[in-house]
Amino acid sequence: MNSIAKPSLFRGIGIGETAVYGKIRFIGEKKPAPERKSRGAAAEKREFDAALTQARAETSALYRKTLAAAGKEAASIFEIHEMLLCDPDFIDLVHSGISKGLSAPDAVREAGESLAGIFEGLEDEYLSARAADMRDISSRVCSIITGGEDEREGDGSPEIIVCRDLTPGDTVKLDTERVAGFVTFAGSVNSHTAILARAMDIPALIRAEEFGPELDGAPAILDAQAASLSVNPTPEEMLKLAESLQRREAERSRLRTLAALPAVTKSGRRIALYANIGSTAEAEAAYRAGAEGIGLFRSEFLFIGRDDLPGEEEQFEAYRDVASLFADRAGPVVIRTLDIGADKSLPALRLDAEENPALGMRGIRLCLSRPELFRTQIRAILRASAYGKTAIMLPMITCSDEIARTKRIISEEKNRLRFEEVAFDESIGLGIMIETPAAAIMAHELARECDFFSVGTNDLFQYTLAADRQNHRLAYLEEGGVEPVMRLIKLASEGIHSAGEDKWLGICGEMAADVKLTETLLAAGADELSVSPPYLSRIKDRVRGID
Amino acid sequence: MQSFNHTLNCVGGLHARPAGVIVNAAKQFSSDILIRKLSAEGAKEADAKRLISLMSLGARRGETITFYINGPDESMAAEKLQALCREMVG
Repeated sequence: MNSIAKPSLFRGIGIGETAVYGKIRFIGEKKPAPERKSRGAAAEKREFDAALTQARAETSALYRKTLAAAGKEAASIFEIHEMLLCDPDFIDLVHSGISKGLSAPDAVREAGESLAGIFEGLEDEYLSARAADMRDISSRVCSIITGGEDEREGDGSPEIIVCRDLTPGDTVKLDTERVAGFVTFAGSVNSHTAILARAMDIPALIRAEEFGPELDGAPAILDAQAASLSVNPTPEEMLKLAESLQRREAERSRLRTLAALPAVTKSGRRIALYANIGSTAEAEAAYRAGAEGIGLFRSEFLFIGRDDLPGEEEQFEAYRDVASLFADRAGPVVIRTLDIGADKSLPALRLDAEENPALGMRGIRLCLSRPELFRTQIRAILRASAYGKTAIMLPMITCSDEIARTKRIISEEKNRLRFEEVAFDESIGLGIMIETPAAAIMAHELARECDFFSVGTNDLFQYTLAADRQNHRLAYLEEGGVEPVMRLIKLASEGIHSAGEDKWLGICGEMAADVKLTETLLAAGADELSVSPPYLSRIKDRVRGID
Repeated sequence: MQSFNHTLNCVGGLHARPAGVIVNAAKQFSSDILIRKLSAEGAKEADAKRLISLMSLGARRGETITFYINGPDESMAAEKLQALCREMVG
């Protein structure tokens, strides 16, 4: 047998990227509640019904808590739990157990196990993972009846929770301040536990090689990236971990303080710092990183990788989720309408091949030629605007006629929604991308037609330099290319700001995320910078260092 | 009686979320709504108003399910569910 202090390594599937240190804390099979005889079917049924009502209430409280802490996707499990708690198949099974003479908790356990068994028998990995949900809800109902909330005491040092399979309910109850991570012998990367762990930033090792409870209390390093658990680690391992922890903690605490601070220069100029996102999942990362709004919500993710087109409902739900997430932030959620062309085509659109797609039917040009496609998206965005400050942004604008035509479509769709008595924000903002030199040059005139601008620096660079940035033989144009682009931005800024006090100019391309250019961009007149979530704190740090 | 086929194109098949959407929609109608899945092992049936029943069909992406709707509001129910199926993805 292994002696307790002998180092040993267990492998599994890592969730997350971090490494943590903690003492192993075994959570065995739940202690069976004290045996209890039925006190008569009627009494047991009453008790079960009362517990069911309370369990539903608890579940919907967990839903709200998780929604706030980890976002919609992570929270949706509790919606499902609530439905399971209302499911007649579950209730009938419990009632029939009670009628057969079982006590309420025994009948619940039996029903839960028997339904979990059905899910476990399914071939589909996602569906068989639902067995844990079935067990979770039945153990919730049981513990309400027996009054046994399992308290997990400890000495306050970090813990690595080890168990067969953590239920989502358990995961949310974990105190992330004390729980360093968790290890399960079962589970899958699709299990809600894994999803929750990712969302709540807890490293985990799932499907780990099994070991026994004799290791309870032993020190261990859980390294999600290495996908291993090192029990009784060697001094060298500890030293290595300590160094990486120190680095991570220093950076984390610095970033944490930054997230709550405004992006303001030393002289007091306030810069709006928004995030670029390409999915609803990224919106949650942006929210947690302290983004004041979404400066660029690329809608293409809804369209790419499929053979059909997303309907109005599907689009509406995605836009609404982000709009309501950011409803309590100062800035808007700027949704860019479909930016697609022959270079990144969609099978469902059957686009004609073009000799020169970068200069062809893309962005707004394509959308205006496909009114049904465009109107569906406009309606979905308008409807989402009822849930939080939202704005529409048009890609690839070259002339004011394109904005005017779009505004007609927007106004017609608004009329239809009014007629159908569907809620939307009457004052929804309209902005355009500055990607063509023409848009930069004519910004003053274009500003009469819209509320704000955002420079897509990658495309503006490509169109200004007439150089494809993917072509490495043209890399020599990079360095000298910054100045002409900056001059265009400055020109646009002057045109926009002289057109109206409330018109604003943002930057959402790669240049916005380059700390070396932040000062120049602010000097050129940028009011807003929009970058992917991981860059937010770095750029904010830079802005706060500028005079 | 109304019936129609639907081939699942959700990534995870008829997993919890889409199944929940169907159940919520089906409950609005008084018609009986049955979903049948044919596979090599034979036919499986589920009550569209019951989540556990529907999830235990184990219907996966690429598999075809058939809706059978019978009752006073069957045509409305069929229309609603068909629209829902068309929109259901991801």
